[in-house]
Amino acid sequence: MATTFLATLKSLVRNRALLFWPLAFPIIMATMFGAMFANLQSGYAFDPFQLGVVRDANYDAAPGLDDLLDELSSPSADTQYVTVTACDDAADAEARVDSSEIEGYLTVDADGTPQLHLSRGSQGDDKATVMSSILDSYVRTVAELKVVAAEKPELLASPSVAQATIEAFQTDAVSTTRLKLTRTDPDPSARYFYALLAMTAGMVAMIGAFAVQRTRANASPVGARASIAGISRGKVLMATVLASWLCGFACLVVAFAYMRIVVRVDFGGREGLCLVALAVSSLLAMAAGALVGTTPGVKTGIFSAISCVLSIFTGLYGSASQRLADNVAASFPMLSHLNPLWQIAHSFFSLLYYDSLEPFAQSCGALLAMTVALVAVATLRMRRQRYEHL
Amino acid sequence: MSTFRTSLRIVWGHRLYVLIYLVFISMLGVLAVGGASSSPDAEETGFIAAKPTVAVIDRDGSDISRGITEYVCAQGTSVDVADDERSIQDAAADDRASYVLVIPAGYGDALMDAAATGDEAPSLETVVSYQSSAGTLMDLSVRGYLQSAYGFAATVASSQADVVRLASDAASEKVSTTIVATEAEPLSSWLLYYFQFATYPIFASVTMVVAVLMNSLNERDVRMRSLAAPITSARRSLQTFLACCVMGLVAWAWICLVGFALNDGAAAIATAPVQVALMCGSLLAYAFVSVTAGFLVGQLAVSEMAANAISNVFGMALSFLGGGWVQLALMPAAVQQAARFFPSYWCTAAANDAFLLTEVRGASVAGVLGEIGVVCLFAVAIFAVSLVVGRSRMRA
Repeated sequence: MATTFLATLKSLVRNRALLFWPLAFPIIMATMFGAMFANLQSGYAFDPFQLGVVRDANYDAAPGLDDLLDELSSPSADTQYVTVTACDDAADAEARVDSSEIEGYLTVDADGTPQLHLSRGSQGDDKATVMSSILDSYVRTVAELKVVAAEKPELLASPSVAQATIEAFQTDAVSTTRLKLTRTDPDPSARYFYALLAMTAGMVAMIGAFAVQRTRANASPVGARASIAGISRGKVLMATVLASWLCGFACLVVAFAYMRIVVRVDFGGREGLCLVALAVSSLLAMAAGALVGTTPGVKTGIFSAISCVLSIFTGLYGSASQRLADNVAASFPMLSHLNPLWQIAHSFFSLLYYDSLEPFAQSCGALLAMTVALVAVATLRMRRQRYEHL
Repeated sequence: MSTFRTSLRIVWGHRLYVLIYLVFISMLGVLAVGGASSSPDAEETGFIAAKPTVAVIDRDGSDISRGITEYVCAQGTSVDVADDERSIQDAAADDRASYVLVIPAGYGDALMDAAATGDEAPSLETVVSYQSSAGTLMDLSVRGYLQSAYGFAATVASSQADVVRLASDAASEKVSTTIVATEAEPLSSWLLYYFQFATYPIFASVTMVVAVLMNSLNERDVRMRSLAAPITSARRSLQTFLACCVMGLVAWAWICLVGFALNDGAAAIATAPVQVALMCGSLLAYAFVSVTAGFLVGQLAVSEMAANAISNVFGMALSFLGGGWVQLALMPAAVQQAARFFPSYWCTAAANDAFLLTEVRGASVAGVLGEIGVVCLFAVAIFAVSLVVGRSRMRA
């Protein structure tokens, strides 16, 4: 059994094409992610909205609007929300929108209500939403003061009283406090790396499939030789699966070490438990590989295709796939829980964000349960294999 | 044309790759971009602000807390989060709710008392998403509502019900927001997102299948048999290349047909034919880049497994660098500069510029055509390299 184990291990390590996926793929992609997401955290900060302003008599008459825009466009403020470009009229502003010089423009109608005109590219854009919210806030303040003027005009009678009234509506006496519920501050880029590790684990299954396929007596000369060796088929398979597991686990550890040491991905300081997750993941991969390896006619390349499809539900393919993954996890949690790559990515996620190890244990438990199910089916298939000719 | 027919038969023999990489992944792309874009109907009527997912945990049950809950839920898409730490932690970690607001017991009375005496009201607890600025914006909006409630409680309102009524009325006053009308008819942003996502299934499927085809044809026995056939080398190569192009065309046509079938393509073609043609043109040029990339991988004579790996790794890398999956604006300047040296960047840029085309004039159309031309030049360059590699391999 030890001889079979060593021989299988040597043959796997020498197969460069086989090891390209689980070794080169995560290293190339992690390097790229590391370069791409270097400033993703700061990327969520506001960029100033490029606003054109039609400065006519209506605009000048709107109380406090010009002061508000001056304040928001001040480069010395903590956040510069807007850059203001003066426009002669609406036609001039539209021409500037067409030429992409500005992202939208502001006009004020005869009754003093501001109107925001946005470029088509601003649809659903965060910056445009911020701009619209700021102007909503201005319109609301005007409405509040109109109510006060109608119900208690004495509160706006003199400048000092009016100032006190306005201050009551702009008070700092109300506030919100942000709760910190997770172990570490969430890092938007971590999700990509965890999904990448999960996809790599899916690819590792190819190693198991390749190794088990070779042991079939009619699949290769090595298989034919092994079938007449003086040890039982069970021992051959056990040694093969163990050797491929070790090889797959080693590939995952190399990818993990590269992400942790070179790309400096945050795993929440629980690297030891990450190795447990990798060991369980590679075990599941080997079980899946063994199942495919016992199925004649199925190519090992099927794992790359399946991993590509399942990775959409871990959010590997950018923000759109992350929204899809979140929606599926929220609406059909069972579908996500049945996705082994989702469970693998979630196990790393649990280690980063939760104090309790319960979510991590749940993910590992689910992966082990899947492993047992796959091993049971693979064992049944292996036992029933008969060869008419060798 | 027997070489052409044989090549097509080989492609058909590997239809599983086409089914998974092209059909499955493009359909999943349809699902993915479905949630990322606004509907076409909404675009026609005006500006749609980015809406966060929100959850309110009301431990007070007063008129004011109900007013705040109603306001927050109206500003975003409401999701249910149970009132326990693990559920709130889950919502934050999974980003299921971009904004969670916890209203403590007794908040309504405390706000009224604070406004009457000019003191500070108790703070509300929030959990704000790290994924986008929508949660942060929601927090500012809630503070605005609270200020309004505090102001009315301090000035004209005598009860919590009055405060909520006045604050909600004031909050319903919003700036009128419209989208600037353009000379050219606007297309649905769904189509743009879908086309940008489709760069991956096109590249992965076409490159993979073309590489496998070239590998099969370059096998020693097959090659010896074809060299002995009474046909010139140029005609044989041309027929093989035509079969590769057919694969590229099939992938491109599938992506376009699915996109148009699911998004009222007839209307899009009728209202904005130039933009549609340019967007499809950018993807067609990219399909040819994929064909030539597959041709190159095939010339390298790598195994099917390695071809699979190469087409996937490069397909993903190109889609990320093209900005179709993550906005390039969020990436470091060096990456943005480096992205310009890849065809996916120009393909995405051409689709984006065609989508934003506000007027169909020579200069604006020429700009997009120039970007498509750059994509085509990449295809030509990769094809030239693959010819050189093929020739050097033949001599070796």
